[in-house]
Amino acid sequence: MAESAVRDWYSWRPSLYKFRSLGPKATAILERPHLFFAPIKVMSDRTEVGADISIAEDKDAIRGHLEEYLAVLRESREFEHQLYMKQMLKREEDMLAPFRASRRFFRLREFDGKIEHANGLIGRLSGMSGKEAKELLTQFYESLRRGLREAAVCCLTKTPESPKMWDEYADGHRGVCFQFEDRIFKRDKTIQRVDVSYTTDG
Amino acid sequence: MHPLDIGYLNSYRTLYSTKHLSYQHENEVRFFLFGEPRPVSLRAADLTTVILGSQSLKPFPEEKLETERRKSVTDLCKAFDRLNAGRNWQHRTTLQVADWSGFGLRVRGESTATLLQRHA
Repeated sequence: MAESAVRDWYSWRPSLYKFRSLGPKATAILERPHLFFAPIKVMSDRTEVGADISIAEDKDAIRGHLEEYLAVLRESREFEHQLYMKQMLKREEDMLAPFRASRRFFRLREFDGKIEHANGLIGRLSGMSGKEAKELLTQFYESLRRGLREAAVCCLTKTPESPKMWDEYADGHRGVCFQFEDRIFKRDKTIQRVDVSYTTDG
Repeated sequence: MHPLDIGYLNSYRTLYSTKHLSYQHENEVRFFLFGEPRPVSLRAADLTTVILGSQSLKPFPEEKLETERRKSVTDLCKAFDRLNAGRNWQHRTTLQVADWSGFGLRVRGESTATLLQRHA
């Protein structure tokens, strides 16, 4: 009785799910619990991971893309600034603190440069047609991608209740679905979570 | 982690956070890892439940496929038992079988002994 009550409670906790076909790879997850992070570049369906973004010739939407990027930069700069100040405050007890802080200072300048660049792009939008704005954003994303270093991705879903998912990813209901705690990777700072949002132009 | 790397990952967040509406059923969460592709270990406690598909216990008419299915189910059940061995029952991973016979997904708990005896 108590056991089933605890299990019911568990099933209501937010969880993440991974679908698999039955076979050695599924068994390996039980042998040694793990999730595989696949390279983005070799994923079979590039559009599926959003690598090819379709951009509408809509200046407001394009401005939205750039402003979102700007917000991320500002957030990162703020984080960097906090670390810089923290190190500078240690200068009385640690002679090398200003030296260490100087490296953070250069990173801050780098963020400032990127913020200025993004602001410049947003400023240029006002004199452009929708087509030109789209071209600007496409080139901007391209330059961003070239600068990105290698990263790997692991995709999960928030629900096991989609028959389509069982069809596509679990061998037409002949496979298996693994339920994981929602907080997996929470403590690993090298892993970033992205909850996908769905739009008509995604 | 280098703060600029956080910046790179944030760029990924910007680039890869939207998908077309036609994929909405996926309700997806993506985890990005900076560096080489690799498996990332988890605690056994992170894996709360294993749900076998509703058709996974149904025999195949073809002998070869049926042999493979039986082996896969048997291996999975044995690995499941090994994972739970020595763990307190409150923290054990549970095993369920999906059932779509009503409205939507329901699951029923199963023991590996029953599964191995009846289906594998």
